[in-house]
Amino acid sequence: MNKQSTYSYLFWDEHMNQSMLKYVMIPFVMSLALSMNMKAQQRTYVMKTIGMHDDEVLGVFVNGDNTRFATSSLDESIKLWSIPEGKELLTIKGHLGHVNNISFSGDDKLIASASTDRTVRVWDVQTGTQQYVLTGHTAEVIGVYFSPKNDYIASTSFDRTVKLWDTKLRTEVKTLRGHTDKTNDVAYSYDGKYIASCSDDRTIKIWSTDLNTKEELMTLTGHDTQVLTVLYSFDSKRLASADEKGVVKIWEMPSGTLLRTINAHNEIVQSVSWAEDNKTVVTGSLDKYVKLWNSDTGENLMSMDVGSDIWGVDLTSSGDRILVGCADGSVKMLSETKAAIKGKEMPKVKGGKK
Amino acid sequence: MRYNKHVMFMIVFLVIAQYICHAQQVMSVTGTVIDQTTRNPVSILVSFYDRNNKKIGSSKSNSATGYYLVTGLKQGETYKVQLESSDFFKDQYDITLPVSKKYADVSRDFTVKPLVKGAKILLEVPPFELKKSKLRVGAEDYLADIKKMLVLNPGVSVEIHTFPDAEGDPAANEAFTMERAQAIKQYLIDNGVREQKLGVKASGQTDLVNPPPRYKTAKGKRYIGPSYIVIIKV
Repeated sequence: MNKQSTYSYLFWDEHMNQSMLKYVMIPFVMSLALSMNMKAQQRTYVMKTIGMHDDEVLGVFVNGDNTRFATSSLDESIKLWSIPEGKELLTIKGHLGHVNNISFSGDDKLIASASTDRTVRVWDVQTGTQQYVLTGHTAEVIGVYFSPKNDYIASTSFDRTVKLWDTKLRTEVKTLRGHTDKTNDVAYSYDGKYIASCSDDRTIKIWSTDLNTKEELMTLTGHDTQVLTVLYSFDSKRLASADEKGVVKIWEMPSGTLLRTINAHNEIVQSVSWAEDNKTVVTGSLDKYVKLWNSDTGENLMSMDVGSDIWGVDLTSSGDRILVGCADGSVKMLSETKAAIKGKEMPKVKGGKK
Repeated sequence: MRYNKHVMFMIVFLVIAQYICHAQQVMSVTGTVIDQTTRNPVSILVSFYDRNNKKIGSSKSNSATGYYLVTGLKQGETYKVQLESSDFFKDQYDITLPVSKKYADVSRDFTVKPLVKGAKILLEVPPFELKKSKLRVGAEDYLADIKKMLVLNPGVSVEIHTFPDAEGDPAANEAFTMERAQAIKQYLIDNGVREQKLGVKASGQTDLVNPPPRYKTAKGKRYIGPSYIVIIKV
């Protein structure tokens, strides 16, 4: 039963407590509430805690072929997990501070991680060994993202910059300046043409990946508080952003037109992700809820209380599994129930997802 | 051949003349001096010394604005700037002036710490990460200022006072904040501060002056229990 249904039930229970009528009305109200609930909840999932970090889980990232996902934590480690088993495969240590975010390379062979130790580090997925360290940010690094062709890594820091690193030269090649406050997240478009960054200055900036262009191409305004995360859809035609008030915005790209504003959560939304259909968006919030949205209509497809504040969320291409990283250190896997999957056309898995 | 020699001589002459001309360009340094704890302007003697420790110029900052001006300085030179007052910790900084083709003002503001028993100096950038008791990467940059203050003012004794990130079991919090205080103390000892000058005080409860917010904050921006340097003896 969703929250509204529960409140409806409690209202009736309180007001009809002294009446025999409640024995008649309560089943009626409950069946009505359940039917409303079923209508809203178009996709249903079962949740399982598959493992724990030693401290809060800050980042979650599913690899391109949907066989693994990585989590990063306040405990300074990165863990790799299998999909769909949810088995812990590897723990990677080496950062000297919290690991705020992670990103798989397009070929799934490497992971880049962003840390409060002011570095971006790159790790071999098979062995967990550190490949190289990228230093240059002057404050903690909060966001990181591999380019679709693996040739660059973009990172954001509280030093207000976005930096691009050449993965072959293993050096910084471009610094993008323009945000007037802390930058919180960064994402490449999957066509490789653009980078989006978001900031405490309440804006989203779109940058060219051309190394000779240092000025932003566009600034998207509309959020009325700090923008915490951004992510392009797989076809690069949409951008999702989320802010401190729990508002999610969907932008048409590359025009930058605002398509939709969704009052998604009651608390900070630190993480969003797209399914491969380019319209389903998952959001995770400090209000403890993970939610699925149809970005075409703004319709809520699923809403689930996971019992802990959510810092990171991602999903497989088809959306049949949602991976959640929680403030209590737990890593949860939400699996779509078979009844819901039956009869639904599943999209093909796309390689090099992220 | 003779013509070429003349041209060469002229070029060398011009280069030397330009160098001498630039070297003689006078520069000024201006700015304000404020109290680090109250953020109010202060009156303090600002003196510039050259590399031979010869006093080149000095100025007393204005008590209402904190403004000071020292002139007669040479471009490209490095100066030791000393700040002195009976009410504040003696402090010093190195300034290297840029090379410029014309007269120029260089701006430099300073903060000073009050030399008052009981004064609490907040470490404005927390030297720890959330829930961690080891010094964070880069904490040395911020603690270097405290180290310098104690080395330059050998008669002063301080207490390192640390607070937890959140309310919880007071005993566990106190053990945790003691680790934090000890980490700062050890850094200072390792960097030349006498152990006898350093005390520690760990709190089991969050700071009443600077308490944790009641709302949730985003990744990387969460409340970290403050650390203070409290002046015990001046």
